[in-house]
Amino acid sequence: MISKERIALMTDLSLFEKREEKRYLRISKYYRSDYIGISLLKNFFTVTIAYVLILLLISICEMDHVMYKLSEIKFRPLTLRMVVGYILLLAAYSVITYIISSVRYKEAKKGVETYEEDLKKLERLYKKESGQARHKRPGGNRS
Amino acid sequence: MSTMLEWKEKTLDFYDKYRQYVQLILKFVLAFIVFLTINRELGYLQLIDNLFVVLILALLCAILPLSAIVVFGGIMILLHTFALGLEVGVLTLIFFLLMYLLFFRFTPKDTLAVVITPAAFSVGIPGVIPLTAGLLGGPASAISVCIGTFCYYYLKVIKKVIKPVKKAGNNDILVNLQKLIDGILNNKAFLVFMISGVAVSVIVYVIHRLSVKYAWYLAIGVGCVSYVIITAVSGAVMGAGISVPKLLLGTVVSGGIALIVDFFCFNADYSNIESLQYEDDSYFYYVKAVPKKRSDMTNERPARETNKTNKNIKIDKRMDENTDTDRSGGYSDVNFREKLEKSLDDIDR
Repeated sequence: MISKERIALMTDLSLFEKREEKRYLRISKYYRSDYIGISLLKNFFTVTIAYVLILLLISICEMDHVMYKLSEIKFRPLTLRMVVGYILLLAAYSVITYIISSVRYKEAKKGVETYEEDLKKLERLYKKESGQARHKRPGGNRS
Repeated sequence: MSTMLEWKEKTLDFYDKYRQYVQLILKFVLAFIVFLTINRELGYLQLIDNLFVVLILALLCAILPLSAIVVFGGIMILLHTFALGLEVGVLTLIFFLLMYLLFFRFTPKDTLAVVITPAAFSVGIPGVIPLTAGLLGGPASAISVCIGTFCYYYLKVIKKVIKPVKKAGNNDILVNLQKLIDGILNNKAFLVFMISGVAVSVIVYVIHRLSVKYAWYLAIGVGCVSYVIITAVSGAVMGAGISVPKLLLGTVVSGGIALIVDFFCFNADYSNIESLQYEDDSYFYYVKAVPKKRSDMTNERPARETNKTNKNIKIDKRMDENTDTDRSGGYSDVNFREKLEKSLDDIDR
């Protein structure tokens, strides 16, 4: 028999599998601290690469200025400014990454929990339906 | 009003019926416009500056996911810029890398702005991007609008500044790179459209979330007016030389497109239709789940809620060929109730 309740449940499960299963199940396999740690580590590498590229662009723009005043440039303050810039950028992006990965982890956990609850509900519905089918067998209760 | 609603329902029914074909056509048209714009603005590599190649790529994009337009568009821009000069190509690659590393890795769906914004600018409707970004995206979409605007002006600067320099035979890499970067940073029109784009996307986002009647229409209206005012005023102040009649016309068309987006994404949320397929012991299920936001023709429009989860499920079920159940074709004309009652009567006797 077709059961509307069961179909709605199966549709929800199928929607989850289609849209989020891959990402959510992957995330929910980690502990929260591990997932956020890995995200922060990835963030460290990406921000470092991005900062090097930004420095490259700035140095191209300022190349004339640098070549012209090469002898006057004080390298210690320049290095300090570059390091401070890097730390600020890394700190800002680390905070953003921490917030985003925390929210994603929470969503993934919640999504997977709901998915598992729905699976159990579906199993119960099947059991209930198969039980009802046995009782409704023609003449089954009358003998 | 009722004719309007009926027309709306008919359009939605048509879209519902031919959704897959309509989506294919829309993706094809979008990809075609995007690739044509890239070729028109750059067009340095003869191999891909060809209508036949554009048609093939657009056809491919029609059957592939929407992100394919971004991938093909990005590759085309890179190929054209590398054909113009190694330094231009490398700089483009660096910009693309920076965009991904600093922003798009958090919101990969927004990458579409990189290729759609130049297309919208070249068609003369730049306002459509902040309006739709505000309606469909979050506050972070304002950054996507900025990046999209940057992409358009980057292509424009390559065409206006670097192409003549290259033609003149100046191959000083450093000078060309400096001219390119200065050309973008000192472009007043770029700054004007970036400011108005960010402002409008935030305004539209805030207004469309207000719990007032017709919030989306209000957001589109206020967004259009503020886009014209901000662009015209800041353009005049900065001396960017922006044509006001062109801006007005473009904004009216953009508002119309935003209304179409509202029509499909709010009234029925047809953008989120899902076709699912699953099976159990007895049946294969082919389910089309339509998010339930569509009003009944006789009812008033419901209050706008963003997190409705009810679904209008249409089921096209097919039975497993090996399963012999009372729903199989062979039993369709058998009255089981009558037979059951008859057999129970026989037992009682």
